Amino acid sequence: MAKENKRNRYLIYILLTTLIITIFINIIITININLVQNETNILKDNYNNLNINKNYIENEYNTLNEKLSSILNIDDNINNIKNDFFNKAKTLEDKILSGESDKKIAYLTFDDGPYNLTYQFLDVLDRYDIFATFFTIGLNKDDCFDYRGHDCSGIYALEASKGHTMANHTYSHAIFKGLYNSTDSFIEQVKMQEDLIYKRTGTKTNIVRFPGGSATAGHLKYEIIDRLRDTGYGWVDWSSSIGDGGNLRNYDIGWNNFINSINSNIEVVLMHDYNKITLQLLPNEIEYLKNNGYYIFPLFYESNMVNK
Amino acid sequence: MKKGIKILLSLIILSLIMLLFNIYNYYIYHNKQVYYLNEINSITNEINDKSIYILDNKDTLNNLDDITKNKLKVYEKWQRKIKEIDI
Repeated sequence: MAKENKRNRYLIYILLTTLIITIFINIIITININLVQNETNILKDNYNNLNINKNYIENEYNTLNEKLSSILNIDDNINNIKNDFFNKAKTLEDKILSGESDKKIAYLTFDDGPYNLTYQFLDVLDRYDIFATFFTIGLNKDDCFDYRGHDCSGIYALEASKGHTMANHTYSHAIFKGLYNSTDSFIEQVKMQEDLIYKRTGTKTNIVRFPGGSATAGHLKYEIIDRLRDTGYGWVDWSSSIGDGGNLRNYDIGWNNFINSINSNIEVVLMHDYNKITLQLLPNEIEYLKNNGYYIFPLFYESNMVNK
Repeated sequence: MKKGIKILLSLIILSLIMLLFNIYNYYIYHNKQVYYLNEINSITNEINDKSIYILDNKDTLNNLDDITKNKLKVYEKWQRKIKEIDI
């Protein structure tokens, strides 16, 4: 009996020791688990922060790659994106004209330039992130200078390099000096201006505006239009004007002319980039058009506003 | 005394079960730690590689001639304009 008691006591000692050891190991592991858990949480936070950085860097990386790949064939890329833009603009125009869309488009056009004020017009268009259309002429454009001392002959290239549509307004604009004497004389003037623009910008024009408007061509109008069509040209008049072609006396008259002539969903706005009042009006016109829901686009050959 | 032995045995078994459970937990957290460490290393490497690429190529962009810079500006303007059109 005493022997059995001794054995049981011995067994209890062993069991107690085992229990203490396992509890001790449990405590150590639990402490370790807490440590690992804390470390894991810190790692998880770092991982999440790194992921945020990774996303930021990835965006930068993609934007940079996009820029680098667009530089590789920059001229082709510009042509392609312009074509995509014009296709989209044409689709929108079609929908507006068919009544499917209530959106609005305005085409800002500038006639008779370049002049010594054209640089400032270009600055305003840049400021508002707008592409416009310049119906340029060529006669007497080598001897005008702007406030920066640049001569006007360089403006053709500047207008084109900024992405604006280069359009043809004949070389001389000589309404009263033979331009409308015959269809040949008109077409010759268009060709001369086409050559000049091509020489200065590398761009071949395909939109023409009759100096004074198509009605000025009188009985020659439809013969000229046929010839223009044969030579790959479309032509455009205007639907809105600020009346700056003649003697625009002050800002208010120009502004009233402008807002009174904006009443369609698609407007071709006629302006002249030689007029100081027009330059003052331009930012407000742009604001007005934007506030009234107009997209402001440059003209393109496929546009419904360009007659063929 | 026998009852005491039984209680001790039960406590030991319970403690062993807890031990197994703790080892399992430790294993799970340790694996998680290894996973995050590997991920952090791979993301850090990726970020470093891309950062070096960005720094190198930003110089390329900054050193472009004026004509190409202007063309890039115009290209980006067309990109903005095309996005604006909501048909």
